[in-house]
This record gives sequence, C-alpha cells and structure tokens, in this order.
Amino acid sequence: MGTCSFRDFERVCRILGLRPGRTGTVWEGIDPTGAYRRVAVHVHSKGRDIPTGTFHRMLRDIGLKDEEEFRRVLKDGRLDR
Amino acid sequence: MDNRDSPGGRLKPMVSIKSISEARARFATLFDEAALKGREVICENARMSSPRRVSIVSTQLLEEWLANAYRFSPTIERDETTGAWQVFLDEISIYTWADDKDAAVEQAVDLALDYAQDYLDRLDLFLNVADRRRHYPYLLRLAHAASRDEARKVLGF
Repeated sequence: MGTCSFRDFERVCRILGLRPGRTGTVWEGIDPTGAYRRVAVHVHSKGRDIPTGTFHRMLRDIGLKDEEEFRRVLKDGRLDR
Repeated sequence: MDNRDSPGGRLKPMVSIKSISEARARFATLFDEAALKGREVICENARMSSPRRVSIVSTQLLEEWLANAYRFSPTIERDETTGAWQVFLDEISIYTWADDKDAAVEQAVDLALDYAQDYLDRLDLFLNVADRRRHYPYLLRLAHAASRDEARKVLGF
C-alpha cells in the first residue's frame, strides 16, 4: 500500500475518461466499462500527495481494483480488461 | 380489518391509497392526517402504464427515521507516510486530507454539502447509479440541515 501523487491520480482519471466536474472539486464521467464514476477532491488538497487510506478509497470510486491496476493504467495509458 | 384469512397470502391494504384526483380534492385533510396524526398517505397515479405511488409523510417523522437509520460514522486518522490528517465519510464516498485535523474536517463538510446539492440537482442521474443510489437517505439528512453547524452534527463531527 502506498501514497500517490495528485498529478498521477489526475492523469489516470483522464485516461479513464473522467473530466473535472462543474464545481471544480469533482472528477466524473463514464469509464471504459460504461460505468458512471465520481470522485471529489477538495480544492485545498489539490497538488498534495494523496495519503494511503484516501488513495485506496479513491481507487474504488474510479472503479480500479487495486494499486497495481492503477500503476498499470498509468504506465499503459489505458484500462485493459 | 382481518388479514389472517386472506387467500394467497395477499394482505388487505393497511394504509389507504388515494387517487390523484381524490388526493387533490381532499389535500388539506390529508395534509393534516400526515402532519398532525403522523399517518402516511399514499397517492397513486393509476393512469400511468405502470402505476406509480408517492407517500406523503410528516417531515418531522421522516427526519426522525433518517436520523435513526442513516447515521454517519466519520473516521479521522493520521497517515504515517505523509503525516496528513485524513477524514473518511464512507457512507457517501467523501474523503479529505490536510495538515491540520480541523481543516480536514471542515473540508469534509464542504465536500459533503457540495455533493448533497449536486445530488439533488441531478437526482435522475444519481438514482440510476447503483452505488450512488444508496447515498440518497444520507444526503437527504444533510439537505435538511438548516446551518453549517447542524450539518457538522449530522455528519457526526
């Protein structure tokens, strides 16, 4: 279990097809599996590394199984399922 | 009314069901039944292809039921690696982190209130997403809060 840079998390959100929502604190959209995904990040937390517990909950919200899948999506630039 | 001898296990309605036209004609009476006596009133639109029903219940009772059945249990903990304080509101998938514990809590309140507003604005979307649909009663509790202080209490802080 590890932390994650905010930039990497945003990059994976974009790869999955999520976009910043209308409030500016939300990433949302339909992922490649056709599911609606939403994850909220407070404006004051942007840019800061995401702590472990939060990171793993956010992974669940964007539909990824675990950190390994997150790293794979980040590396490959796509979700492979 | 006795339901024990009903054939096929089908029960006689215990709550009276009114058609829309009947409810419209007697709305003041039905409102008093719900508000003053706590009686649930069900209205049915039988003209729809699949008839839909709506319940009218006392807001006070609804708030009591929600408060008893949909309690928030926030988790506040410090991350050993980053040193940040994390707040988890797992009931509505809201998480925040900050250097200061109080700041993390206030950010969680911000995000929860934003989510409640967004959810009610786009109810048709969220009610059609299974893992978001279950957030509704929690967010309804939050939406009934009259102040930020009350919202904070609803969230369990």
